[in-house]
Amino acid sequence: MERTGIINQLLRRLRFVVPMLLALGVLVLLRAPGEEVMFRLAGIRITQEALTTAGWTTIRLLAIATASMLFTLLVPLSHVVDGMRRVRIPHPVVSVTWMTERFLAILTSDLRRTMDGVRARSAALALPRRVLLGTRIAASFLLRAVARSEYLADAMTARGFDGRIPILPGARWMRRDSFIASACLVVFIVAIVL
Amino acid sequence: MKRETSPHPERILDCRGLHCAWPGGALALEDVDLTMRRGERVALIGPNGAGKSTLLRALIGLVPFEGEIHVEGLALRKSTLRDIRLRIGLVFQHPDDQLFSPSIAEDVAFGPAAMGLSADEVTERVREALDTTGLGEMAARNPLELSYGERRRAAIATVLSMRPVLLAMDEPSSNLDPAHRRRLIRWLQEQTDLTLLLATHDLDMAAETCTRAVLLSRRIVADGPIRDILADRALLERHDLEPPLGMQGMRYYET
Ligand SMILES: Nc1ncnc2c1ncn2[C@@H]1O[C@H](COP(=O)(O)OP(=O)(O)O)[C@@H](O)[C@H]1O
Ligand SMILES: [Mg+2]
Repeated sequence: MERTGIINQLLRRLRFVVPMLLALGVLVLLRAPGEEVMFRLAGIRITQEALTTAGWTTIRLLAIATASMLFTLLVPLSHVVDGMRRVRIPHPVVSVTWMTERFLAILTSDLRRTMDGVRARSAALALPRRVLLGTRIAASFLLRAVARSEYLADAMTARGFDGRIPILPGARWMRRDSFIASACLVVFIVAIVL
Repeated sequence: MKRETSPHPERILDCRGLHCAWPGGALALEDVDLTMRRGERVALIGPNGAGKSTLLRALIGLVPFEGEIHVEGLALRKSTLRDIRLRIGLVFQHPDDQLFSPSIAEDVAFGPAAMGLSADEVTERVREALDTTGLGEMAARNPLELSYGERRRAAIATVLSMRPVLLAMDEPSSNLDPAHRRRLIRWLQEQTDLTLLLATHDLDMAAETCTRAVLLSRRIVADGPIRDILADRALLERHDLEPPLGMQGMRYYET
């Protein structure tokens, strides 16, 4: 994959995560204890300490999210399966990891499509009706997610899956993968410890 | 009492008294008997909601049923499920239900690799299946980012690479553009030793690829040479099927 491709994909994935992280940051900002009041906004005290905590929390989570996304973008899933197998991680754990990654990828793609559908249909609606439509679509999306997981299991068993993710030709954990994994691990540790 | 082995092992498929009811109680299949010999090419035709998909899914144990299903003499039950699923390759009606790997090549390799074939053999089968479906160029692409028709072809490739004894396809021509539909028909025609069960309401495609037709409308309404069944306009119209336009110019599969 080309470098620009990776960066584009990373940005696209971050677009999903950043709003959630920002919301979390605001929550921390409002709830974290603090003494030194910086300013008041509509009766809410914003303290120096809370601002610092919120800022760092957001940055840490963002670093962790970016590192894990880069890892999944740069290291193919089949290499991860091979790597896990080499260090003798039990088959059920490998399978669950594999299926989780796949299921999330499939759901994200479904979600993106669903949201396109919401946008296409809700543009002309007033806000309350838009919320109503959004809720209904979210509910049907969840139902579809359940059906999806069943179909995923059906599709896998139909292809002879017997509890072990098969090793594909050419899928080897490589030195490059170890390098990327170590770099991501360092980011994780730094983000948690600092 | 259920028989463990079929009295007719030469039959690739032997369904007896098949009933399928959905949880709501609606009967999707009623007393369906269907047998297929090796090398037979059967079109399973019927309108929407006739139970075609239900029947195909029942064959690999994906929907609960009453009755008996034998595949190459092997009775379908929990202990034989995996064996039977390796014998019957089912192309699902919706490709999104079939594809699950990060790339097309990996998806096509999954089946053969799960069967325990050698890396060389897996690679060879992947190449062949991708060639057949015209996806060679797209091997590295993510199935989630393809057009519907491309996903459809990828789903077919994942089944072809397993070289099933019985190839079962659920409306494989729906949403294919004319060129790829034609290509699929030609491929099916070239595979002269194929045992094929093709669920479709594309009657032209059925005629060009199959020699026998089974008309399903919850129960089996007709079963015979495809020429006879497609020539029976009244029968087709009674079951909401549009008889092919040019019956005289109709092309049939020749053995
Ligand atoms: N998951 C399901 N739950 C309940 N009823 C279903 C389900 N899937 C299909 N059906 C019903 O079973 C009948 C047969 O459907 P299906 O086998 O998909 O028909 P076909 O493939 O011939 O169009 C239809 O009446 C349909 O509504
Ligand atoms: Mg169907």
